Amino acid sequence: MRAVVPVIIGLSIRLALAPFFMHAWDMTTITLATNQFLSAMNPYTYFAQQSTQLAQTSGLPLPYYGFAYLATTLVIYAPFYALYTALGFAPIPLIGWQGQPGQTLGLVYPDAFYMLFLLKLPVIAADTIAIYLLYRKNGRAGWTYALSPYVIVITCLWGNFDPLVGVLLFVSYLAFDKSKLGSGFAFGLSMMKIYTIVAAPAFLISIGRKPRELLAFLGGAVVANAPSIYYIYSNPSSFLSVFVFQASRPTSGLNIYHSLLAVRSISWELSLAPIISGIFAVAAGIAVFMVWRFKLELKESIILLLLVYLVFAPVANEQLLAALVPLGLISRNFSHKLTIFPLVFIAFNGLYLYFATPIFFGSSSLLATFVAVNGWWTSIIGPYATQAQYAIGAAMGVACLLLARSTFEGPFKIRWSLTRLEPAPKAPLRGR
Amino acid sequence: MRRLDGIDLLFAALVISVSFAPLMSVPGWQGYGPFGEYACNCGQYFVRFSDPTTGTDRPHVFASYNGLLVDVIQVSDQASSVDGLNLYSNFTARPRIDGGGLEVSYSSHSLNFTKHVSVSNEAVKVSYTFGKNVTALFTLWRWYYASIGHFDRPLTREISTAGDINFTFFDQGALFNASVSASPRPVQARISGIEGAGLNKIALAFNGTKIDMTMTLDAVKPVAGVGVLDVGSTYYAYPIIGVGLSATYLVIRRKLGGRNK
Repeated sequence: MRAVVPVIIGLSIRLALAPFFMHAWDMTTITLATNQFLSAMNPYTYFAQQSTQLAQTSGLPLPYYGFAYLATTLVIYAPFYALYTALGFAPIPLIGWQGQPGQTLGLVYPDAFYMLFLLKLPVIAADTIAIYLLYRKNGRAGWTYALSPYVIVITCLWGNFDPLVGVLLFVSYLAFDKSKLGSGFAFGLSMMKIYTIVAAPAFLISIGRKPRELLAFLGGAVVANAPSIYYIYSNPSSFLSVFVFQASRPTSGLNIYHSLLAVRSISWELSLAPIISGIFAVAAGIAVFMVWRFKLELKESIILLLLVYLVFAPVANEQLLAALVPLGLISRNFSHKLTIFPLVFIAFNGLYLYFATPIFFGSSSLLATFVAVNGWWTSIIGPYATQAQYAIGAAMGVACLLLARSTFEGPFKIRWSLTRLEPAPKAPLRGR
Repeated sequence: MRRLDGIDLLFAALVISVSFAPLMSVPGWQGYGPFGEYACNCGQYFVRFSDPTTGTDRPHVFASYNGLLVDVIQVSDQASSVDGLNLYSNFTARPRIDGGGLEVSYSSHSLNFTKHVSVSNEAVKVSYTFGKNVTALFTLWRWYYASIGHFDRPLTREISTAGDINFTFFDQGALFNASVSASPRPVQARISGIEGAGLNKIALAFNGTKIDMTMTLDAVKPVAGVGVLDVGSTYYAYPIIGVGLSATYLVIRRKLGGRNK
């Protein structure tokens, strides 16, 4: 019963903030793709077309950063978007953004408030479930998730669905001992952002040589991805373009590779992409071997593999950490203090794209204020932004690897002074 | 304390090696960014050509000074026009790396032309080629010029079009002298600025079928006793950060190992 208090507080904060903020790019990606899905258009075909058009316009092998996720995402968002349009609001309330690549955000209808509120509901609902489940396991973990500034930013200020991915991973872990089918289904849903596939070996190793359980788990994952199977069947080449994009995109985000952006050469970055992917593959392979060799607990295995992803994968955007938080809060090889890194990193992005809010487009004077503040902040951080982001990204890589390695060596708590490092007892491994 | 293992050392080596990447100059024009920006790291000059969403910095000329980048001047498509058509609003621009330069094709419903940007050790040249005789207005911005010709007050006025247009600006504790030469000779040159801030605009009007503007950094005169370190303009910050973080990682690993025993 006491779980009601953090649930209500966490839910209230999220509902209050949801209508007023957005990551303009990511929210319009979801809006546009869901609109296409409900209009019987293929978002993957659109993705492939836009990639071709961008390459023709720019003369460069640039990837188009559109809807590049599995189709379960569309099924989850569709009812909320359908409700939004059924209420008579503009189908795409943002003019001059994702629908028209190469254009800056020009006009925001007041309808955007309703769109943001409704489209963020599935992620807010997932957050609410996470608070409840975490509180039941550990009261402090429940409160931490309810009040986590990072999770609130990603769920409500940006509107990304990585927290939903994290909750599905968490549910998959919770269901694992009771139902392999249910666990596989939740894990399959979590693959809406393809990166969670790196956690698959953790589940498969835990199942071990039990064919029936393995079949049930895989069956659940396949059923969860039935919408994607439909798109593979209907237009395999355009669906494949998403995987090609995800596998070959240049480095970006919050990682040790951020310095490569300073070279400013897409052809050079793309030529390095196979090497960086190779480094990640080797690191992930070693991590999987360690999971198998040391028979780690499932939750620590999942966190370990995702930490390795954060350290070595070519792309680790700010929101990705949200997928680790629910499970991480009950794992010994995770620290919620990691969330400070993406929060600081976000501050070094331009305001226009990352905190574009419909509120500021409500009147010309508010917009002028917004533009002025944006210009002022950009002029302050502009000369230092890439260096600062590299420092934050690389520091996060270091912290993630320290946590990943603590999986085998006992708990490591992030403290801000070397002299106060937590003494680490021997790791409670299940067997060697 | 304990010995570091291979993973520790490999990770530190990876972080350090990647942190040195920005020091590696990829020569010539290169494309990057989500919508297609271009940049040329060409000897004394660094030139950027922005993506279609921006409309300014087309191109933006920087000069290398004591290892730092100094903002010299930029051409703004947003404040330029040909036959009354605004270059940013009324044209679709498609840049391509062409030989040693950047060739940008502009097209609209009634007019097509090309802008070619080439960079040498001496100057940055922007050439416009039209298929017919046109009336063009090109605007060159800087925040702010210390002087243009003999003028340093931000008043709107016409200046002589005979010979080069000389201008000065302060940056990195130094006074820079630079110039713009144009061919054919502009029919009008107008300068303007912002009261309380300084001169920031040179607008050149032309008639012709081919128009060239050449920007040159002529001289530098240090005026501050101590050089100003601008971290934002130097690439040395990356390896410093990389080495520092790698060392931090290794120190923590050694200390943690000691506490584990």
